[in-house]
Amino acid sequence: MSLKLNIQRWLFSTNAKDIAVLYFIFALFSAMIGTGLSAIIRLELANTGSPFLHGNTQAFNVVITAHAILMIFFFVMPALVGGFGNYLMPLMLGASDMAFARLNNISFWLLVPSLILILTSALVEAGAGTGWTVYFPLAGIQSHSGPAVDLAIFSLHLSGFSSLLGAINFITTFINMRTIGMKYENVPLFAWAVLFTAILLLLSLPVLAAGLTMGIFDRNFNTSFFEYAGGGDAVLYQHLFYWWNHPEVYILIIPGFGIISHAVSAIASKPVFGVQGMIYAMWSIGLLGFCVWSHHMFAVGLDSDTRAYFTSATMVIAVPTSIKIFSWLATLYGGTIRLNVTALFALGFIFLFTIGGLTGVVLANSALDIPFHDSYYVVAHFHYVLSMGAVFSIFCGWYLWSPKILGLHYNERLSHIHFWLMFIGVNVTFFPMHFLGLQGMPRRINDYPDAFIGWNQVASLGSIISIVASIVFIYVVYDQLTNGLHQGNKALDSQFKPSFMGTNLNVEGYTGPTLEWTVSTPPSLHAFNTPAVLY
Amino acid sequence: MNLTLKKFQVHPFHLVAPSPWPILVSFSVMSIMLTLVFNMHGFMHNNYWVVFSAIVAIMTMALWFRDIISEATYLGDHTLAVRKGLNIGFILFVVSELFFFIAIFWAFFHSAMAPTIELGGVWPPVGIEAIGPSELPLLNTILLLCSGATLTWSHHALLGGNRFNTLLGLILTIALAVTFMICQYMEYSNAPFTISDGIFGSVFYFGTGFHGLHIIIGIIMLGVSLWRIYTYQLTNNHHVGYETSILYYHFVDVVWLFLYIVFYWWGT
Amino acid sequence: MFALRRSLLSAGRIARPQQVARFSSASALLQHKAVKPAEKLSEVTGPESLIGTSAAPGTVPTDLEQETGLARLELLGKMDGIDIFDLGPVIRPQHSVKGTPDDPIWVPTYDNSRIVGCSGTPHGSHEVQWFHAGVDKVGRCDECGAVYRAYELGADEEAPHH
Repeated sequence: MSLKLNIQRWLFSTNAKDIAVLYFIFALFSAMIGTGLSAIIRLELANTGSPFLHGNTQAFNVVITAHAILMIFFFVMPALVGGFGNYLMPLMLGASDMAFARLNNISFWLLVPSLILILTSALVEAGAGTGWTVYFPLAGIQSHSGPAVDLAIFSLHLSGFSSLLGAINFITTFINMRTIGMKYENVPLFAWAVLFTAILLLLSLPVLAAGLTMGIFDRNFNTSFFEYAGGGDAVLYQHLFYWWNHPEVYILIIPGFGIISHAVSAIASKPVFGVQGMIYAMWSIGLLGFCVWSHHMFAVGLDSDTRAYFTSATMVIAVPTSIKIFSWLATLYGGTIRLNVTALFALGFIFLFTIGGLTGVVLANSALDIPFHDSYYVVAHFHYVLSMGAVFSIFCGWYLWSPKILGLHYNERLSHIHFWLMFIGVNVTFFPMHFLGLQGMPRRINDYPDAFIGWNQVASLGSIISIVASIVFIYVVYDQLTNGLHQGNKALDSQFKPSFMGTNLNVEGYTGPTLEWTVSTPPSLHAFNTPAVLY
Repeated sequence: MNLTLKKFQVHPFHLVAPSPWPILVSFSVMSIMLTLVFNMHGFMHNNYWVVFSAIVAIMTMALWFRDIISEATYLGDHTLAVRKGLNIGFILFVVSELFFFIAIFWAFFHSAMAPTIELGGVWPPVGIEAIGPSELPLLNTILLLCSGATLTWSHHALLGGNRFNTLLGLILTIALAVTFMICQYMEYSNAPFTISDGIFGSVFYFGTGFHGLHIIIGIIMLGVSLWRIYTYQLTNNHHVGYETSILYYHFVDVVWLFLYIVFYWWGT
Repeated sequence: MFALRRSLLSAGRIARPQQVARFSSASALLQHKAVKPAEKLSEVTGPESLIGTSAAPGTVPTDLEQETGLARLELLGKMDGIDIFDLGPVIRPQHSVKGTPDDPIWVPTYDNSRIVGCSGTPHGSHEVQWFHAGVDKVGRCDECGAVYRAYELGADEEAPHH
């Protein structure tokens, strides 16, 4: 096809499905970089004496910073919100496209400069060795005098702006573009999840932007927001950062919750138990998420009453979250379970996210957090909810929807191998970190006392297994794209539609509990030229 | 009837044609960021590249908005549903701006309610001659409130079909806003403290500075609306661009009121 | 890679004449010979009759003078009390409670099929099922067995059973 047509289609796109494909490719690319960085971390920590980076602590700090930023901003968020959100939300609502098609495109293209900036920041001068939370005064001009931290902050600005514009788009689409007859209670759970994610983004990102801008000013324009000598306070930065950061962790997981709801319904051949409860649970998690930010700050010297409040508020969030877990279990109960790879990832999510959530409840207690703060217990907690929560939901969504989106089968057996390698890998990597945290190993260090060698070696071994799993997944996708048309025999029937759907009386045999199953496989560039109607 | 309707799009939403502006704006913003960093760290000897990048970015954005205007006024893509969507989207954007200013006020209260020992334990800090609420800021407040009134008058004139009053009201609004900016410039030049004067100067100039930036954006939006009314592009019923400009300007006005009360009155 | 090309080709097969010009330029629209803009819904003949004129100098333009394109069509419809984007009601079956193959629920469409969501009789009595209901081939809900059939608007001007 002509170059002009391809430029128009891929660079100037105003089509949510094409933009979603761009997001997926971008997310996969960034995930590989992030995984590579995690490999460096685990190689360095495999033994004492800094075996990989030979004592270059600054380099290690730059690696952990870049690893976190890449995984969060360039893998999980683009994949969940940008990829699945863009592709599925208009389809599920019966909308012709997103509300603001060009804004959608700039949301994607802002990520490319953002990636360039963060990679540049890691590579110029000494790099940004501040940790992804970019605390001042370590991120201040006296401690990090080169351009790296500024580049990192600007990268966060751009990706924040990208997410903010996307959030405006999603909320407007949800309110304005539902199909005829679709009331709010008929909207599928994933669309609700993306809506709540968008609201969280809208309200939290500007505060991050302000805090980061104050940081830029402190570094370059001689202000004293976080400089004690001028009357400022480094804890102010933490307040502004964590006001964003706590909703951010819900932004990372709520789309995952939406995906798991759809997946569990599909694998159990039953509608989700208590849909209204699920919606209200997501709403409560989002709302409460704004009220608990200082549970990340228990060790900075807050007043004890303040800590008591944040402890209690944080523990309350466990209630709506567990409502969701129990609802998924209730959905599975009594259903005809189809144990395909989607099911494996969904069940893995439910189990492992619950473990991560439980360690979160432990950390929520300010008294317990004092010894656990910035220890490997925290690292274990958030990797359970992220590497095993968010990432499992991404894979689950891929295996559930990619045959519909691409019209290509994947090799089911190979995907099972991917699952088991991933499951074993991430658990071997992150479970021992609980022990390390309990034993008192701090995080963000590149060398440690000999007493911690054992579990660190186990964790590093686990990371190798995870990397092999990632390579297997790349091969699964490659195989899907090149041989996918002809390997129906290596796939299960459910790959194109939920297994309990389909009669031969319908026009095209495309039926489903949600609209994305009714469009063609793969969907045409614009579905719903005549809007669907819910009678 | 249906035979005729069959020739047209069945749903009211706007399927936008492919557009180069998003990717171009995105990379010009990258250029701003990179040149700004290099400039701040002494790799460039003048501001030329930063200014150039900013101009390119703004011009590309202008071309994008121009496309939106063409699609609305000349191509008729903005049906009622699309207009409703635009209004919702803009309100959400204003909400996000609100939270940006909330963060600024957070920083102010964090610093001012418990002033540190380095400041002398008082707010305004020892040695800082704060600008009082009965001086120039009071004039600024009156200017902005009046401009809000003239803007409302202009809008009602447009709704009522009175072209002269619409244009006059809008010109007065812009004039008052520009006067406000001139007064702020005078305040900045004659202030007894700078941005480098500790947390007080930081929070003051950061807050009023970003507010001024938003006033400038508001002036630009109102200016575009003025041009569009002058060239007969807006009707008495269909003027989403004007309504969004009005909302934005009133929002920025309200932010000033909070700034006035908190920074100039409570904070002195 | 090839699958993505397929979807582009299948998009091309959709024959709806789109009102939106390929490029955002007024000239593409104005290549239609501008006739007098329609002031009533009945005067509309096609996109060329929907190009608005301008207001007299010194006045504030009204919608009727200046609206163009799809927005003008919508305005003219509103003036007649018609919502042009409302394809018409879903028509209940005459003799059965939920539709049967002989007495289906009729769904209007301009295409030859429509995607329908069934939530049972009465509304909301079961989880929504989405499926295609065609002009030739009926659509059937898996949950409650209701039968839906599409009727084409503009083919003949009368809806069935009215």
